[in-house]
Amino acid sequence: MNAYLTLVQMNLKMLFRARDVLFWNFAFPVLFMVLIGTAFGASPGFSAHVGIEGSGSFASALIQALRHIKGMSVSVISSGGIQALQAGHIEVLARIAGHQAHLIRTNASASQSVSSIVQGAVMAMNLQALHQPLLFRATVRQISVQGTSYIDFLAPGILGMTLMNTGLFSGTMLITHRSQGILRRIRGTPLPTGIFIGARITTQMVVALIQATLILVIAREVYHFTPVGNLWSLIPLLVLGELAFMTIGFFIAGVANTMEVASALTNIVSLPMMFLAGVFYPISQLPRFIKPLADILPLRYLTSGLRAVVVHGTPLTHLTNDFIALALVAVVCGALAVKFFRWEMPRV
Amino acid sequence: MTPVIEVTNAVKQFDSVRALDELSLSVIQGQVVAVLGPNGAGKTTLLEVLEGLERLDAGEARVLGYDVGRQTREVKERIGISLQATAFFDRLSVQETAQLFGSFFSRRQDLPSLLQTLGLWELRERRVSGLSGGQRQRVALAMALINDPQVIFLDEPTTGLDPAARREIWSLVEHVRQEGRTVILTTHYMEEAAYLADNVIIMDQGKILAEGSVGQLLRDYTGEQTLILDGEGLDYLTDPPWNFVADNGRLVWHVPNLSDHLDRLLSDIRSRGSVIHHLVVREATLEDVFLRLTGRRLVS
Ligand SMILES: Nc1ncnc2c1ncn2[C@@H]1O[C@H](COP(=O)(O)OP(=O)(O)OP(=O)(O)O)[C@@H](O)[C@H]1O
Ligand SMILES: [Mg+2]
Repeated sequence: MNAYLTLVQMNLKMLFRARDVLFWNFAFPVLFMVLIGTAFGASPGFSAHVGIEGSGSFASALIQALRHIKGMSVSVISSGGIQALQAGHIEVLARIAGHQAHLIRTNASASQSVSSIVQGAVMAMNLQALHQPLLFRATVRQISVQGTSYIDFLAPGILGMTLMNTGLFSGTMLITHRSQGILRRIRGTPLPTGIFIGARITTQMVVALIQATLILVIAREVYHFTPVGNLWSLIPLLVLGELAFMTIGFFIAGVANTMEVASALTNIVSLPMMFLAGVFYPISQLPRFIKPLADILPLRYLTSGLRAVVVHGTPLTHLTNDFIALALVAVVCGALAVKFFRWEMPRV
Repeated sequence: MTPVIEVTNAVKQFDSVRALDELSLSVIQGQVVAVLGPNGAGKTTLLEVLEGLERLDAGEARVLGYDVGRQTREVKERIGISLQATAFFDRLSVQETAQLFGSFFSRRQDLPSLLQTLGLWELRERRVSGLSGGQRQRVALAMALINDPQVIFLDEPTTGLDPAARREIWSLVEHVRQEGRTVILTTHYMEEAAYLADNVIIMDQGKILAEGSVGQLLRDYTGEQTLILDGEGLDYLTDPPWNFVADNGRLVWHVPNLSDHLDRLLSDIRSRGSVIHHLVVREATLEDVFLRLTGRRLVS
């Protein structure tokens, strides 16, 4: 017990003293999430462009009114309005002659909304011109609905990807220590192998918990991401997911002699999962012929489980498939890792 | 006295190399034993078999009465080791390393006094990565002593160290012996073996060629001293009873105990009216022993 706790304590100390490990484990996932989230539309808000043909007092008043609407931009066009509309440069074209505005829109839904906004602006201008007191008022409040914004999708995906990466790379630490002869030195003590490995796994679990907290908190602070499910029920998924990927990492450490080989193998395992296992977009959007491949990727089950819990509040009892898949990986790769585990480099 | 270490007909085969070849050995308690031999002699293999890190293909190895192959855990609890390529976790301090290794054993020494003895107390907060070679070897020695072992194995504890650092390790080994522990160390340096060891084991190609105290080895294989004479009318010395050897115009005498014979020799020379121009007495070394045993030099 003493050996186990001391090992975990020292493992954590070493981890927090290694700048590169800190970066890849904690800073990178967060930066990555913010970057992807910002690049792909987690930024809320409306933007539209209206083209105005014609001039006069009505035209300038309408331009004034539209420019006050947030996200709306207006251009005065002398010719070629229809082409601009067709090309999608503007959502609506307003042709103004005297006190008559002729709105031309397309069949795009954005165009429909924008034409309504323009009509509303014209209505407001009429009311103002009549100097009538307002009888009815409406105010707007916004509420968030889970599963509709991209960050709801992205945050659990990034969490899954992060668990995968740190799990896979936990094995490479073993390679470094093995090639330095530290593992052999430890084998010269009565420390049981199980305690050594157990302490390593525990250390990674602590890391996984910190990562999960960090990612969910940043998603909330930056993107107003609000998880629906009970976050405690994330823990079994985190633990099993991390374990599954650690066993793969240990297996790689067993078969690879050098860091170079291990990194290559790790990339072969992790890259397809990053793009095909539902981290950044749903698996349902993959081309049909790739889907069977996606179904054998362990990360797919972790991301779908995490997403179900965090976004939809699905109880764990409904996630047996995901649990079985991850447990299968952990058992099979765990057995392989034990079979291939080596305390020292073979001499050449 | 029952032996602390007992090896009987040990065989260890690596592919085509026989690293230990029917080797037998016995070490009694409280001795410092130096295993001397050229690269690839099997020194490390011998130690690692005794440490429970390598398994024998045939034969038996016992440490403190335990069969190393079967009772590995019991042996590991009671011995201290320092491997040839010693490394510890770079990002831990000396003290943390000691805490960590201490936690692996059921019995351990008082940490502060151990660090103090080894001159590591002032360095206890330093990261292992920032230590010099000599300091690292002292850490390795501390880790070998952390469980208060009865036997310690040191594989080349001074290789790569400068003379001052080497002397420091020597005095620490001396200290460890005075605490009553048995020390088995390997070395390429015959002066190290000569200085530290009660017993020297000369190994080559997985076999023990000779074993004994330094004096005994020199006596048995070379004579303790070598007398070299240069002068006039001395040629008669090649005949009995003196049996000198002529070597490049000089006369060389290997003699077990020079001081016992010197008076008699000098008066004999004087009485014959011969003249000595030049007289040199050289100590024989373990290198001479090795040369004599294998026809090769120890350090190439
Ligand atoms: N794990 C191994 N695999 C293959 N061959 C080995 C292994 N360990 C040792 N050998 C071989 O066994 C022989 C003895 O090696 P050992 O390391 O015991 O020698 P040594 O006396 O310690 O040498 P050195 O002075 O260079 O440390 C050498 O020929 C070595 O190449
Ligand atoms: Mg060696």
